[in-house]
Amino acid sequence: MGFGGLVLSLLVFTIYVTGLIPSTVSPSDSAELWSGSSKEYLAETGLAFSPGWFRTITNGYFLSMAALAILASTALPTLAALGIRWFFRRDFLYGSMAVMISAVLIFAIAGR
Amino acid sequence: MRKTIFLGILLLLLFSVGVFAEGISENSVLPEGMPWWGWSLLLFVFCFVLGITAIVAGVGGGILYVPIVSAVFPFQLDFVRGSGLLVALAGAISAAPRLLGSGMASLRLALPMALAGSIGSLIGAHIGLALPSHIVEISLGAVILFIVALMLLAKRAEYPVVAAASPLSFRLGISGTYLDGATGDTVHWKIHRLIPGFFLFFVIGFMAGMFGLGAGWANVPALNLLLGAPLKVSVATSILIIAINGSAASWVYLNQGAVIPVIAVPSVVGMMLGTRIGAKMLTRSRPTAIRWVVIGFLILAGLRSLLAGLGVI
Repeated sequence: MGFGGLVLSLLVFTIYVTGLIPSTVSPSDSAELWSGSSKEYLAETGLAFSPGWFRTITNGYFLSMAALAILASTALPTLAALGIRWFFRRDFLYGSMAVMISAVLIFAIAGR
Repeated sequence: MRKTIFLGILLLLLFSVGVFAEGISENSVLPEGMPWWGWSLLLFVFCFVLGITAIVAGVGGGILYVPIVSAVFPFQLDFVRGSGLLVALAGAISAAPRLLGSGMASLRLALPMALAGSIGSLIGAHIGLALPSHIVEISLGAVILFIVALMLLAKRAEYPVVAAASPLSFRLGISGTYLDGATGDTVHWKIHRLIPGFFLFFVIGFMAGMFGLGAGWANVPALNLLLGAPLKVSVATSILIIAINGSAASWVYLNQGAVIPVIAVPSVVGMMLGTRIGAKMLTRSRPTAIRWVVIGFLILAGLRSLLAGLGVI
């Protein structure tokens, strides 16, 4: 995570905690629920982490989460590029491995 | 300056022991009703110190985060594990490009292991979030104590002797050459036992996903002692593997609501800044002494998790 990533994370986090844009779950609400399980957290907040949640970036909470989601997704474009390179070089075994790992990541991102 | 920082780390750890004694849920050493931003700020500072300590002590930040933060802070283990994975991932992603460029990290070695590990971490994350908390705490405690044993007992081979590359590793072209900056020698390496390694990396990925730990503590010995990769190649390649495996498990935690920004962001930022400072301090520090302090604290954290899961404390 480079300097740019750090700055972006801090920026969107600041937007979230200062309430510059409305949020589904305020920081203080999070604090009241962080000693319970994640299941309880979802039940109390009514959050729905459907595959499209990261599209709601006009919501401060999800904007802050989006920065973390970008961090968690960094490997995917790299793997895709590597896979393409390997297939072009006719290294089908490694190209296939890159595709399989990408499939695992996409499976995880889709919430499966 | 060095003594001051070392003492600061010790004080922070001792403070944490005080929190243990009083019981985490009571938080009696801290003002009651501390606002959320107080906890986030404290977490940021704590992770900053952890980041410095991790580099200086030569242990991964990921392995320190979950046991120590879960023991000190009032956050439920689900959220600590979710943030722990992101912390480990951030560190790995920072280091990966530099390591690839240096020739130490091997993509050809990393990819098959990452394939096994990513599947394992995905399954481990799902199971970890489905299990009751006390089962996870007991397991986490046992794993931490195992990791400490591994840190104390596992030998490392700078250049393992691999008589012949296994047929599969030969077929996959898993071998390499790098220039050892310390000795000036050109090191040629190859590996063996690829299939057992594949299964072991599935298990490592499973545990990393389940407990939110970085996997360096297991990846490096597996690559070095089982597969026979030189130590520097093992360390560098391990980071590549973590960068991939951590992504899969992190998304499980993200999607299941086990990542909260007010915990995850201060943790990631604090740890990243701390590791950068720690890297600069490395040449001026006493890693052995700090490593022993860290090991001691991990033992405490592991015992605490075990006893909490068993309902003793």
